[in-house]
Amino acid sequence: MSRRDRLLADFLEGDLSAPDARRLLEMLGREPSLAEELADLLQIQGLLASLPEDPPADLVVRQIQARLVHDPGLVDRVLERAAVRTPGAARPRCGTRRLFPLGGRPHDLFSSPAFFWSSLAAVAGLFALVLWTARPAPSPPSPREAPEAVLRGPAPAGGEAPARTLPPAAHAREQAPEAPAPPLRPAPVTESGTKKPPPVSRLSTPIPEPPALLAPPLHADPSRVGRTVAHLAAAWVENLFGEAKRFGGGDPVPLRTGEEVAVGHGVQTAPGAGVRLRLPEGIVLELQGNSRLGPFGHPGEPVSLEQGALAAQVPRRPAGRPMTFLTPHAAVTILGTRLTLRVEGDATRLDVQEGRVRLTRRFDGASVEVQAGQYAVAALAVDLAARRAARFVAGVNLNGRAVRIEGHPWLSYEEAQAAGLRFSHPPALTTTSVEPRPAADAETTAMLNTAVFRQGGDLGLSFPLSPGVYDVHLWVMENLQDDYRSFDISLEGRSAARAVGAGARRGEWARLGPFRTTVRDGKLEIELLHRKSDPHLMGFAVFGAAP
Amino acid sequence: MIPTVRTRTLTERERAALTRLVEEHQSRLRAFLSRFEPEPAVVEELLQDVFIGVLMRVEELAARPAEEAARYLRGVARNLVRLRWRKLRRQHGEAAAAVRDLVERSLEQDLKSEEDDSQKRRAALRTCLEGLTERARRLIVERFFNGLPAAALARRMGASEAAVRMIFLRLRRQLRQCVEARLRGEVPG
Repeated sequence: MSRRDRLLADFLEGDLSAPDARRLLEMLGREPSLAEELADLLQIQGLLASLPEDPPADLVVRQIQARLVHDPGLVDRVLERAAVRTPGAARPRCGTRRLFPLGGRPHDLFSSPAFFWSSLAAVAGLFALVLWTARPAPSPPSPREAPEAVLRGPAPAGGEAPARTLPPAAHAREQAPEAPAPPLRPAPVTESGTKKPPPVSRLSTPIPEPPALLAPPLHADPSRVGRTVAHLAAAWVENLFGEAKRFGGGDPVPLRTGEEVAVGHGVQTAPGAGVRLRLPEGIVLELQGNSRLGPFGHPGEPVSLEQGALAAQVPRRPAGRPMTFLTPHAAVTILGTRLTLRVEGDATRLDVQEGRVRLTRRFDGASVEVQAGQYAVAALAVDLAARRAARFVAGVNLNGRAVRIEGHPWLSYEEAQAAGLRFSHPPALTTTSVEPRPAADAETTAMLNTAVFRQGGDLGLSFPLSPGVYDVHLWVMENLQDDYRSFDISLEGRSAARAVGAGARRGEWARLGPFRTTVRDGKLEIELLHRKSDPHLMGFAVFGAAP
Repeated sequence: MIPTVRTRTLTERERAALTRLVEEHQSRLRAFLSRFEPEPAVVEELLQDVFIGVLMRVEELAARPAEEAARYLRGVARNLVRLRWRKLRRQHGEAAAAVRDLVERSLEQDLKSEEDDSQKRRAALRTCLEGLTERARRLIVERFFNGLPAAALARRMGASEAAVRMIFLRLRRQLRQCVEARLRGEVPG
């Protein structure tokens, strides 16, 4: 048995270890045709499994019906995932394709409104010409041919439809600038609330195929990348803690402080990491660990939080130009505020610290106004209502004085010890005078400059809390030197964040969490698990978790 | 604009249209999806997702010429397959994700192809299977039809798991050659 064959066999069985994956990758680099062989063998494997008889159609329909009943959000999710346009939904206009979560092409120069309007007249003329020339004998579309929706004509009577009337998704991808198409007319709604079938006359209009999910990688045309980045920066990385990557133009690329994030690119953070982004018009977003911010659109377009949590500071917006955040479950429209948005499983939670925010549940269009100090949850089977925000339980400034952080009074180190703060090992104490990056208010700066740590080993803390469910936030700042330490954090024995501090530069700080945790034995246990150098902690705050 | 709706049970007309659509297209869609996703359970879910994805226009689609509807459904299926690949890539380590990426680039050529010969491939594979030895056919049935893992087969055969994996690698290669030859119009010896 050759090593090569063993690697192929393991890959096909879906059981390739990490070192073997690296070996196979090297092999694929030396022998590109190997990828083709693997692809063919995978296809054979799949086809083999499909050989048994197809189940009866009505069984498949029953299964679909059962899934619909048990998972009411299913249709919505599939529609968004598959980027299927419904008869009632307008085709995404230029510059709004990013509203298809996970789908759509990244924005590029061609999708700017300026490009759209300036090219519309030229495109219209070109379409007319193409339509005229294409009538007698349609020819296959060229890569730069006009988009299908504008070109569509009567469907051919029988036989293969010409590619342009129902172009393959792949063609759509290859067309460089896709011009906007007129929106489809909304289908009338019947009394039962279901869409009426389209009138017979519409049946002669070919159905536009759903847009392809994959976009041509931006690196395919270096000149285009340059232009995109130069002209269409959507955000700047103001501060970074841990590992964050930019995605949207090929493989994800690690982000660095000061870097631009272009329109069409998104940002994802590793667990325990955090990134502070500055957007035009003074908007600041703090993306927390294990989060994913969808590709950015042009200034003023909605920002998509696909996963995780973010905190936002939005200066007062001009009337008629609110800022909108989209999550899989909700749309949040704001005119100027501070808020926190978190996507968890099938729900989106909005906490408002300042101002007023309208939260709209995407599933049914219901909305609620959420004021400062309130929160609301958009999810199925949850009342959409503004509720009083989580109750502050306690905050502890480790090795420091009593402080007021984000409006909440924190205990000094001595007070916390008197209240029952304990350690697994005697901690080392440090007081520094490091300038936090980004800059913080005086109280936060003071808190970040005092810490407990343990040299080269794990450190556990426990703090008395009544049994219950809590949201815990932890504050850390790199106070010694760049990329000095890395450690994991667990709460109540469960992993909360990994590789905290890895890659952090001196002065970079983050508020980690909130981490939802259940206290059963009357004390909250926080463990800092050593990976590299000395794990440390500046402070923590505990909130009663909202129901 | 905030999308709305889409939670409801099927009306009678939709149910009838969906049944027609499934009847007509499930076989070729299943064959198509199977080429890009080896897990039968995942294929079934993707297949259902394709039909769920077109629920809003199911009656319109059922009234279309079959080829046109098939192409549309295949477009939805393509998107779902690509999405599944993305999800898998995120679940893998860096090297494994890179391997998947290279393999998927090869698969992408077939995925985006407008010519769908999945049905022909499946028919050719069925014929090729008949050309295998009885023992090999039994192994294929156990492994791919009944979903028995290689480790379980190895225990049953009293062989090592690595040896069983190699047997399947050889069988896949043999079937691949046979299918390609049949598609080219050659009858393998």
